[in-house]
Amino acid sequence: MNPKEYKYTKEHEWVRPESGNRCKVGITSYAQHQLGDIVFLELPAPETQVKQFEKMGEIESVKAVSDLFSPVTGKVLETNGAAIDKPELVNEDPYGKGWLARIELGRISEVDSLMNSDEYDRLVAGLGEQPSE
Amino acid sequence: MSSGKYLASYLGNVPYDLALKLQQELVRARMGGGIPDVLLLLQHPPVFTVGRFRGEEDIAVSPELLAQQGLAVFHTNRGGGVTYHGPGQLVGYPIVSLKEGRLGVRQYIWRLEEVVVNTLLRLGIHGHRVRGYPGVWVGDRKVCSIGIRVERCVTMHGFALNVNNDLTNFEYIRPCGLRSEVMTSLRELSGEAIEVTAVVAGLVRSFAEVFGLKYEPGDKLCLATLDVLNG
Repeated sequence: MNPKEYKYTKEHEWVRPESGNRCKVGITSYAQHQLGDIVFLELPAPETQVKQFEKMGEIESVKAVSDLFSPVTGKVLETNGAAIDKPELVNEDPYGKGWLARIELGRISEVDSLMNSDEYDRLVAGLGEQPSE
Repeated sequence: MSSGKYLASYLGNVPYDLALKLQQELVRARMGGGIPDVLLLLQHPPVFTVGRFRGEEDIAVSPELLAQQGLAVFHTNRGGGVTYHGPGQLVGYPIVSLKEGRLGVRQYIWRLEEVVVNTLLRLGIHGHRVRGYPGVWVGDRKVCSIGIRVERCVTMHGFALNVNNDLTNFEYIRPCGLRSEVMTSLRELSGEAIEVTAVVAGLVRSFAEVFGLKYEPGDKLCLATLDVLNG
């Protein structure tokens, strides 16, 4: 189940609001399952300005490199070094130890307009059961 | 939703950099919805390519030696490690909308492997997958390598199937981190002369079956795009 206190994008990223104007971001369980075993991560350096729905990094899984998008606009405060060293954490625990970056929000209203967990659950359910190949 | 068809074109021998530009143009057109999925089939002049995150460390000889042999090294943005392309190898670059096909990356790679396995079956060769080592294998030898990139849900790069290419150039590298002796070709497996062009039709048919799309010739689109790129 997708955590209740998180917010979600239709591109399958999550945002976890924290105190102040901060948040953690990552990819959802659906996203990591679709990607398969993650082997490399490139994340933006601290102080990098990221924009909502624009590229913030790259991720390699099973011989495929995909772009990572930021779910919010803001300044990167830190990235998850443990996940960079052990990208399988993103598969194993996408909402916890597999978080990607902590960001200082530039526009708090962006978070409000993201999906809540009920809306995201419905989106994923609507994508249908993918045959497990 | 899916348009239900895809375009395929066999382009013969195309330099790596030109094929890359062609893919980029088609990816852009595919994102804009102006074209359906496309399967580019071609061969490359001899070249080594390195993946986005790894591969350089698996080139076993000095850059000087490669240069002496006239072998270029291309740094690409695809997944996977270092590989070799050269005449006699059939390269496939599918430009596929994962969103329209409702496909995840993992499932897409599985389908590419299925396309190649089915193509080999048409030739009487039984290929299979090896868990943890994407590509297509026959026994304990690897005949097809895979490495892709996804941009805004549209794929590029793809697979390379060794048909009758000289495998000795693999000895300069550890292809995808593996021992070079692992690589084989259809000619080596079947013990018979086999031309790249003899594999194309089966591949086009297998792609149609696995992706559930009707084949249409894509020569016009691809040649027109190449003309523009060539000025």
